[in-house]
Amino acid sequence: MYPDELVRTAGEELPSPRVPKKKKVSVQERKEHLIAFLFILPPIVGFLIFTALSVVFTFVYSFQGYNSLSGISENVGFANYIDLFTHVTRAPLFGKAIVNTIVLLLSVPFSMILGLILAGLLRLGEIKGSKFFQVLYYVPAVSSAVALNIVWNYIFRSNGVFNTLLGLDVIWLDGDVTIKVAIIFKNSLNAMGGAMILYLAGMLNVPKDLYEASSLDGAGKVRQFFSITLPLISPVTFYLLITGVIGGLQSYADAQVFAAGNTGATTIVYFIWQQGIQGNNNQGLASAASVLLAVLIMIVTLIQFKFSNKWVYEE
Amino acid sequence: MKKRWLAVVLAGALAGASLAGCSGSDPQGPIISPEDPIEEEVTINFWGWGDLAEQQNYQTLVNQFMAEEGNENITVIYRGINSATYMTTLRASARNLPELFYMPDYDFLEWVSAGSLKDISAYVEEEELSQLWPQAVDEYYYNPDTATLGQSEGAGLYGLPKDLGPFTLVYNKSLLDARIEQKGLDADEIYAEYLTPTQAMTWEKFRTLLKMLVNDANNDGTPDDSVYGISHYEIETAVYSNNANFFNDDASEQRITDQNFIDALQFIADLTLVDHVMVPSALQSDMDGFTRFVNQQCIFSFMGPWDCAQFWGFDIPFTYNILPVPYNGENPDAMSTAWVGSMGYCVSARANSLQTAAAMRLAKYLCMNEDAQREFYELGQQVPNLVSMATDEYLNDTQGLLEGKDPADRSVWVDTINGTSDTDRIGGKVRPRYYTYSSGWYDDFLTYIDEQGLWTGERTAEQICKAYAPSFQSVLTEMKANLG
Repeated sequence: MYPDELVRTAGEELPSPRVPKKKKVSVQERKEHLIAFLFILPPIVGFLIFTALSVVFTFVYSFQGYNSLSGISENVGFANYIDLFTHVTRAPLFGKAIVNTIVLLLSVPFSMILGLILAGLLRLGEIKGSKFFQVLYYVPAVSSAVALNIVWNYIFRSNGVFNTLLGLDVIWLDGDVTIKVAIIFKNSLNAMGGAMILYLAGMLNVPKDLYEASSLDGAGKVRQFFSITLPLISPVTFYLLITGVIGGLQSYADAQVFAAGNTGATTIVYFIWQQGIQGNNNQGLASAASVLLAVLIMIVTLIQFKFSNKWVYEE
Repeated sequence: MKKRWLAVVLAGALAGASLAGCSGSDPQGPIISPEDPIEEEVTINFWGWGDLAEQQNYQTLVNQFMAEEGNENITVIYRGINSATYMTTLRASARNLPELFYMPDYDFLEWVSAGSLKDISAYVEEEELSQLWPQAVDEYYYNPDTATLGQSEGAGLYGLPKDLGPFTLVYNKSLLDARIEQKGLDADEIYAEYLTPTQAMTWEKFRTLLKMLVNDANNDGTPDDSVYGISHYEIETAVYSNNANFFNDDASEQRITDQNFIDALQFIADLTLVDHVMVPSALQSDMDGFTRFVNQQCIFSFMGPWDCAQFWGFDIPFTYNILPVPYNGENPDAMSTAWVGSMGYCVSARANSLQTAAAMRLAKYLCMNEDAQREFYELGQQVPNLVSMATDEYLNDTQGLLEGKDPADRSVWVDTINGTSDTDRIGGKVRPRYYTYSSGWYDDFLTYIDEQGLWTGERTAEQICKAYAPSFQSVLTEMKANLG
């Protein structure tokens, strides 16, 4: 409040609200704005065409029976959505894809835990050549998903490195359960490097004086980790959880390249590809599945945000 | 303001969608015979599939075609695509197809019924077609009024056959001979009794032979030397060779509950579960049959004429030969019947008259020209389309182009295409997917029987087929409805 408002008496007229004067934009500034706009125009156009328009088309096609060969499209209402849950052959495939996708999300927490452990070890500085290990663990994050999956496929073959080293006789790539275990294992290892780098950055940002103060109070390393480090790097955990879950729900390469279509590992996106692109000519059904997947991702993300205030540290 | 923007975006999207649906033009024009000289310059696109060697070979033939007298004004842009992604690429270009392209038989019905392929009847003379395998030509007849396939009467011709490929049994002769010697068996007797190119084995004989050859001392299903009897078994082949099928003649009613069909599936499962001679299904995902055969980890497998190109390219360290596929000797109506695949050269329905004439000239060159056909068989890509060439020059190698090249008994492929007399009982048949509107049902079926544990013995073929029959029937009904 302004001091003069404090002494205003009842009935006294209020001054008209101050309307900020519109700043005059010079020709030079307009020119600069135009140039700036032109710089960001390509990504905007790209976004509109390849993302926004695709989303709109997908939504429209989810209510259409579209034949990509003849180009004929007819309105079928909610038939595609109903087919996803009732069709004699497609519904079981879709149901299986949903279950598989959710189960395979287990690799997200595992990779975070592994990344956290690695970051903790490297932060402690007790490992010689920590820079080397940082680079080594981060390599999968900058490698092609297809290349990684091909290599892992060889590793998990019945006569592959994994079985040979551990003396096992497990057929990882065929069984409904074993293929999931293999994918969760490989995805956890692939993603732990990225998690490690982010956790490490988060740990470096924790003020040292907090550790010093807690040491004076007699807190040990373990106590410090759980009472100081972990809460203060919770924003990193939250970020990893959100991006990991969204990425996991969009998983495709695992099903296509690593599992080569094994139904024990087919994901929702693989189902969409199968129905809409591979040759089934069910673009409408694939669009409906895509819309449901987008809704699922939004709901899961909203829930995560909703509960984040209970455990994510904010300054 | 926000609402206005949203309205603009939505209107744009809907307008775009409706425009996409309406795009295209009617390219019909006067028919120009492919035999007439092409005076105007014309460019056509031609898409095919195959490995790099095949693509290079096609590029060479296309170049030869363009250099021939009378073709000076035709420019062909050839694009070779990996077979695994070919149909996805073609489908993505469905509204803007190349003028000439491959079309596998199992996808033909969907494309022809959608109006994507041009009726080329007026561009081919009956006399020209009579030089080709009739069953290959017949595959590309379609009557849009009655939605019937394979019959020329009242129908249009929508493709010329690229090839006709029987998928027959192949054995590693070097490995087999070594095994016969190791086991102290009489080679002459084995060859006379089991390995005759003109007389197919019965299922029972085949099982007996495999059990004789596999080294599995403790009979636990894992060969002592990791060499299995056979890599896998073709389901269509077993079904056909027991006089069964997936559905009736017009693909409207399922037949997977017929006893012959069930017996065929159980025969395959028992090769692993009972006889312990076939690679277990779980291990088949590690390595496909072809690779396993090349790696000498099995004695028998299946191959088509197109596989020769790879075998010869690999320079494999063993000899091999082919045999007619086994059949159920206990079924008096059964005979050795391999599936015979084909691919068509099809012209886009949107090609204009000049492009169509040029595309047909190229299609005929690739399909019927003697030099081209000779080049194809010499490179190990196919049995010649020309009947006279296949049954003489190719079979007897009168040109000496196949000297020292396996398989020695190429007659098996010719017999399988041609069908032999009643006594020999060898023949071939197009795959069931050819008769249905789409081909995805076949993968769904394979997935189902795998998940239900047919290959692991959890459930029998009878239990699985009976459980799946209602679903399969509704899929067939749905596909029939799609044809209108």
